[in-house]
Amino acid sequence: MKRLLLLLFIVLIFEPIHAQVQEALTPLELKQTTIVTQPATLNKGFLRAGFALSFAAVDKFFDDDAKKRLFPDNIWAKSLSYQFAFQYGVSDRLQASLSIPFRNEFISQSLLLEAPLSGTSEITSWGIEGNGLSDVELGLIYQLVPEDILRRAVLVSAFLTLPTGEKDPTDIVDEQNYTLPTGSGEGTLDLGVTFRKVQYPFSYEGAIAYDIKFGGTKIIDVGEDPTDFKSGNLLTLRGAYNFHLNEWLVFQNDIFYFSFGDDEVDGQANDLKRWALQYVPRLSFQIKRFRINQAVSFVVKGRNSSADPGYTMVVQYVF
Amino acid sequence: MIKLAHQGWVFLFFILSHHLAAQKGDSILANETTLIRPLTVHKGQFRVNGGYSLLINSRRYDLAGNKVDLSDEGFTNIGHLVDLELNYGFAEFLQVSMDINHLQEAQRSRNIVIITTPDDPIDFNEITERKGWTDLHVMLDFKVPFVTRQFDFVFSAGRSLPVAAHEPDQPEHQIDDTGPLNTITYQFLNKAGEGTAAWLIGLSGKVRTDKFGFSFDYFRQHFSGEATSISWSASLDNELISYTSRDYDYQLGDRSQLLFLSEYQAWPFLNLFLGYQAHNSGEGWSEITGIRTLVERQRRRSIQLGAEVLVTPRLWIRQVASFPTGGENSFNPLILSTRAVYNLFPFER
Repeated sequence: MKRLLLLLFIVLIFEPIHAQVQEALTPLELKQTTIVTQPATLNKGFLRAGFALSFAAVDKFFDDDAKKRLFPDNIWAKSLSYQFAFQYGVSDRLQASLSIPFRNEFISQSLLLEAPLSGTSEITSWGIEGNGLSDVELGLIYQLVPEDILRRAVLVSAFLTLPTGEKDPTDIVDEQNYTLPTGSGEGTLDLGVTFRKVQYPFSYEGAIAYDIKFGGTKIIDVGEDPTDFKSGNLLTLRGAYNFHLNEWLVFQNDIFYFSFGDDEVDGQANDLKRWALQYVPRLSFQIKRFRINQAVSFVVKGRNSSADPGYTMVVQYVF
Repeated sequence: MIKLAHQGWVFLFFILSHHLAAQKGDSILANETTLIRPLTVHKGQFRVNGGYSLLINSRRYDLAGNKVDLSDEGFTNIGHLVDLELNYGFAEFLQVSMDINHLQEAQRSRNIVIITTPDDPIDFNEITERKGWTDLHVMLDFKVPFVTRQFDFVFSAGRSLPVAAHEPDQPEHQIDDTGPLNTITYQFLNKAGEGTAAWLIGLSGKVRTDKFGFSFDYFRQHFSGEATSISWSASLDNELISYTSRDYDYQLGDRSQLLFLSEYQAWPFLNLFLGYQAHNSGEGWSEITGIRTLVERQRRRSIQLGAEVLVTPRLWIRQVASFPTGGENSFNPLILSTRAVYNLFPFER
């Protein structure tokens, strides 16, 4: 009985306050909230549509001793990714998402071939490109512990990546003349838990996620038969600290730690023990229902991983 | 040392915390959009201006000014530039400025594969890395004392101080015979300092209407005299690489930079601008090869497109994309830069 009374007392205390918070913002105002002030998931019936553009070049890497090194060859590679993303509030606690990415990959190399004994010398330059749909992603985020009046929430998420992009090199003429694949060739299930706390003008997030790779079969080396492969599963830890610079501009700071499992090709694991520590500062401009996000990712440290920065710009609108 | 550094951070935090409170100067800054902001800071105003630029070198221009696509040559590369500029207003018309940059870029060359015997080809790679601080520029800027919102003119003079390292570190060439090719990688480690002082002069001006502004900014750098650096050579003995260095002299040519900018104040918090920039480097000479040889002049031309957002009266963010349009005997990168500018009045009570 005492427990029941105590529960009733708590409900009576918190429910009116909760109701007041709900009434504080109109639907229009909710659609104009920033990355800090927005609810943990989209409100029921809201749709957020966005377009993202990412650019990265290949220049440096962290070697087996976690030392940053330059790629010695003069190969130039760049990757441009653009994706359409949609998020929908199924209920006030459940958000569904769909991402449709496209990729443009480009690799070029030039070399001078000299054969002094035969007195021949030749310059060979080649460039290969791939353009097209990449791997589509479907996702669900659920407020396991719904956002309370203190703006704390615990979210669970599941994202499924489908191998919709072309996984194999196509139009193969020779090793220097073919079309690059734009897909990974394997499905991925990403499961995660996120803790979020808003304390205006700040917000904090901590998250852990685990990517399970399903593997597949694809042509890894041009001219050879398709091979069984499986990328290593990925553990991601993330911490975020975001704050308002003014009412419509938020500075976000994300730190990621990635731990990659061993990749397998034809049943053989590569045993690279890859990891990376990444810092991603972002600026998020909120102009009414429009949002423009810009981010540069810096790989601070790593082992057998890329050391190159990447640039991303996202434009979003809430309907 | 650690304790001193810690005390320094505490002091810096204390100073910044102190100045986070409202200041009289805020009312001056609150009424200044990007368009009407004077070309120099106000008396007692301290400005910290820091930025990051991503440089994407995908083309170069030859001596005749013809564009060469670097992906055809395999020379394409990226660079990173972090810059810091400080301004302080001694008087309403007199400002002292200091700026320094940190540069990091690596230039690759075309691979050379030499086949002496079919079973034993050798692959040569060459990487020239340039990394480090640039020299410190210290300038005095005099604003013509017309109190008007329509136009501004500023004369600047100063000195480039060769505080940054300019002599290259010992190279780190590598030999790898574990792969199908015997690979030799020459890796040169250059610095970003010039090794010699320079005189700096500048002239800038701006004309404004209610919504539009037109400005120019001219800057010239005259190197005072000859400089000395070192060059490295390497020899291979029983798969061990040994290095020797020798001194050589060089003379840098004068450099100049001219920027024309037209801007539009779309809203009080948003300024959009379009500019044209020209960089010139005059002829110099170098004895790096053992004999004095001419270093040809260089030209770069680009168009700038950007926006400045006033976040608060004290803080603004400026983003610029610079697109290469022409040049001569130089690389000309696409530059994407973001900078934050923070203002305070440190001695105001």
